[in-house]
Amino acid sequence: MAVRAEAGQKAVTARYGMWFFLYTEFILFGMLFLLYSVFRYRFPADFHAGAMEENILTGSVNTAVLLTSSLTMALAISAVKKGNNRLSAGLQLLTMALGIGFLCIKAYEWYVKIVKGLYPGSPVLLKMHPGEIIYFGLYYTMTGLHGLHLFAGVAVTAYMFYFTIKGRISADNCARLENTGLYWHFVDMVWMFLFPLFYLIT
Amino acid sequence: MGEGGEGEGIGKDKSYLENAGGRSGIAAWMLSTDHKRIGVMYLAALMSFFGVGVVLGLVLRLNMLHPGAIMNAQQYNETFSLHGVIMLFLVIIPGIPAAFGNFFLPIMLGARDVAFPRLNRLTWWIYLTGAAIVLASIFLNNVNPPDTGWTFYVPYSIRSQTNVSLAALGVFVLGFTSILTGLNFVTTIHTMRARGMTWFRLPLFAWTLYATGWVQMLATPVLAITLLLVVLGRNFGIGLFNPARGGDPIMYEHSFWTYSHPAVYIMVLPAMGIISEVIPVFARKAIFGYKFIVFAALAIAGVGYAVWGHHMFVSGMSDNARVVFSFLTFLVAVPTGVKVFNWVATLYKGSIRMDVPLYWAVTFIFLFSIGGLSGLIMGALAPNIDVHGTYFIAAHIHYVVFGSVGPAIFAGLHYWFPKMFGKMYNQRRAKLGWLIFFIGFNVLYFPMFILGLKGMPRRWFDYPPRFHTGQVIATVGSWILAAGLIIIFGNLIGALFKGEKAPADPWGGRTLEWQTSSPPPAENFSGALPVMEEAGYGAEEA
Amino acid sequence: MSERKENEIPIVSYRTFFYIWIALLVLLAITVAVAVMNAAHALGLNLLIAFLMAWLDLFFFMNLRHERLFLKIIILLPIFAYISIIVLTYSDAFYRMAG
Repeated sequence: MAVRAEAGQKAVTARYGMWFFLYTEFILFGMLFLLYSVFRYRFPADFHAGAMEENILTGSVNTAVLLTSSLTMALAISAVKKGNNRLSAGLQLLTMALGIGFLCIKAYEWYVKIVKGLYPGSPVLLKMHPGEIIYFGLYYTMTGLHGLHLFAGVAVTAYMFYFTIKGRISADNCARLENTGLYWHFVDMVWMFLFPLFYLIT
Repeated sequence: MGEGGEGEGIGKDKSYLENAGGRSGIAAWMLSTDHKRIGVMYLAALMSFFGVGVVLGLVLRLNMLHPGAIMNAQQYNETFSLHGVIMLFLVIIPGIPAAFGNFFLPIMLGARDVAFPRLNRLTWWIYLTGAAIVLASIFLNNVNPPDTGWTFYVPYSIRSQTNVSLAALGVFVLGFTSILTGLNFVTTIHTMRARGMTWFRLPLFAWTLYATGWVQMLATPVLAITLLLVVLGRNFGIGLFNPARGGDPIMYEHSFWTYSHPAVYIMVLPAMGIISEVIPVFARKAIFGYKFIVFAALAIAGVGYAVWGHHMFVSGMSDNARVVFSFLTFLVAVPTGVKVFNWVATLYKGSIRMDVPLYWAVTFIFLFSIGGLSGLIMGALAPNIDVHGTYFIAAHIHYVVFGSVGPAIFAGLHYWFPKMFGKMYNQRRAKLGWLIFFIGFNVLYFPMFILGLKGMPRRWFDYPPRFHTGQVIATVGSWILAAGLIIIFGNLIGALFKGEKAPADPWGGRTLEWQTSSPPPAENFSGALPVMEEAGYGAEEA
Repeated sequence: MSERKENEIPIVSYRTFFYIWIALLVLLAITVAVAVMNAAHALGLNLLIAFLMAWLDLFFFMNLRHERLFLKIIILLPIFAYISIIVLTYSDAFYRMAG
């Protein structure tokens, strides 16, 4: 019992759980990517036409924002392990800010499209080619689901921030923060594929 | 189910039924992180929903006696949809892992609890939430219950004016129960085994839960996203599956069956695990070919992941895909055959003790063989086209799901009941219940094979007169079956209150759960955790 | 307590993470440039770069390179499962959905 319940063992158990959870997330998003590929194979021209609506500049900036948030999250974990809770808390705050920044830019992109009447089921959209209807359906579903995951990531990081400043996360006891990091980097990874598939195919 | 047994005397520790962790009343159960209490709560919930499903099934059969007398066609559609959704998503898919897995996996591994006890409790709450949403779809919004069947096929599920969104959402939520239970079990098996409990000393039930856990994790998200897209399609006009908007309904079927075929193995693998536990105990012999059974379980999980297309032979998918899926389907029969062979070989020349659990285990092998072999008929392309969408399919699914997993659950229930509640039931009454169930089951479902071959379409509310005899026989069978169920459950529930005290090991079982008292103490083992010093269960090859 | 050491991920230096971040930003610039210039095989290059970025994310940010051997190997299972879903779905879609 004493050997098994050790902190190290607990940390590794927690990490197993988080990796397994991420596998399920991978399959979840994976199915959407599969649907994307099948429909793109069906409607190559319509997908190109649809992607013309994407703003490559905001998309690229947003990608950079998310990559930077991954950096600050990784640094926050190293900082805690080095015993520097204050630095870690600051970096976590920065991570959350970048995550929210990403969501704001994303919301702006949605807003621009919605003002143009490009949203699922809209009269403008329903007059377009079937492939374009599918393209925008996928766009809203996939970026929306990704955004929800990122939002959950921000919320969980807020908890971790609270634990860190209260000292409940420390160099010896940081499995929770490490797992939050794993999740955050995974959500980031999903975007690494969403970005080229929606923004770079014009 | 708060009825407490007394600790049997191996240790002084109070049993888990008496040790409420300082809570009282409902909270002692609902807030408990004890895997045994959670397992018992799942069992109670599953059996209650099973009761609801059975009543719906009886009503369906009753309609076929004289279509239109008790319900109209729309109500018939709603009833069979609810019957399917409840039986599959609320009862049989969470089924064995949630109830018996939770209760026995940690004990069999020699652990105090699962790897994530609080996650386990959350999972139970999620299950209740999902169940509540599904049940709410019966009456909420002043709309009718879903009428799409449990498969929610598009495009009808997008057009239907019934409560499809709510039911789909409920199933979506229930999916998390599956995912998190699988995740918890796989992590538990990896990290919580007692010292000396090496992989090939694991009880076979634990092995099947391991294989099932992976299927739960890797298949259930597919269902989640598919149902989410149906809900988005209904409420936000995202038409990925809607042909009117460029979508493709066949992609829905692919996604749905990518989950729902592996789901069959989520149900059946743990059932096979129970059978692999019961048979060697009552044959008084080590299981024949332990490693073969282990690898067969993993192979079934693996290949079972890749055969979903055989549900779609008449959907209009490409011919190449049909050939590929037909071939892969036949492959599944190989590891399944290996298992059946091993069970029978274990019984061969054993000193068989005919107790109730073995009755059920043998029933499993028999009915599963009928179900499995009829599956081969449909796995072949040409006969499939003939029997697809007929009662033949309905008979097949009931033989495999109800006729196999059902007896496995009853085998587990009768095998582990003394351990779970510390009470012994009346064996004679249990055997009577078994006999009536067995007769009723076959009278109910076997005629459906014949009706199907003669061309009776499934899901039909009414039928031409030539099918009348078969329909009447099946309906009578449903009454016999229900009588059997009443005897079985009456006996068990009676035993909860009036049963004799059960010894720690009434059957001579050799896995770890039999080495602790009945019912087990809150910490599973009084004193130190067991250490497996020698290759115990299953290691000696016959 | 050697068990404990094996269970813990070592502290990764700030500098390593900075290098990875810079590498990711460079890859981002390349992938955008490829698309904007409409280079030959742009889609293939974009996806290749995306996989490269994901690899960096997985092995450095997510520390897979310091993980136990089991977690390094078992990650192939969901990937294999996903690939088989793709292949089997395309055994239908490829013949039915050609644009």
